[in-house]
Amino acid sequence: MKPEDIFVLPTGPKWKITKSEKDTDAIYTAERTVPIGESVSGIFPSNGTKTRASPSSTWSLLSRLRRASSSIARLLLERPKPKELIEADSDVMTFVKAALPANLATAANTKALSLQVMTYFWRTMFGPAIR
Amino acid sequence: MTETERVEQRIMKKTGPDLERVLADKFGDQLTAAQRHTIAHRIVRDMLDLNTKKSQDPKP
Repeated sequence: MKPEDIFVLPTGPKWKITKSEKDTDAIYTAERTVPIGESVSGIFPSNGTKTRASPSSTWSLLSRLRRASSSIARLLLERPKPKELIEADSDVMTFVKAALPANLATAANTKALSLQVMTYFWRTMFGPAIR
Repeated sequence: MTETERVEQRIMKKTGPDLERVLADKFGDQLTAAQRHTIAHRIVRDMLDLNTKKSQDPKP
């Protein structure tokens, strides 16, 4: 899965998007020139943020991270979920059905339980470290 | 015990009880505690095996 599948990059003639790579990380930089005092609507920084004059004309790293994290959370909520997250894997459904007693192994139960199994497994595998 | 076995044991320890709770919520008294335990551990074991199989033979 590519980053573009998860995150919506800003588009339009005012945005300059550049992509670079460092080690295994893909880095997307979105740049746009905004007059001082004007509100920005779009992706980065978050909507309604007003530009201001500063001696260095550079925003702090902490500020950038905060804006990025709130924007990413918003983007993840707005973006339709990939089908891998809403459709049960056929292999998982097969062994979940086999594990359930015959009277409970209905198609609906199998599908619902398979999705829950996959969710818990992903959280375990990709969530905070297991101790 | 190999590192892989240690990781699998931790995953089993973390995910097994979660799945037992899911089974209890979903099926209530239709399953005994022993059945929930067996089913949850069988599913986690199968998930680990599937993961190993897919990582050894990755196909889209």
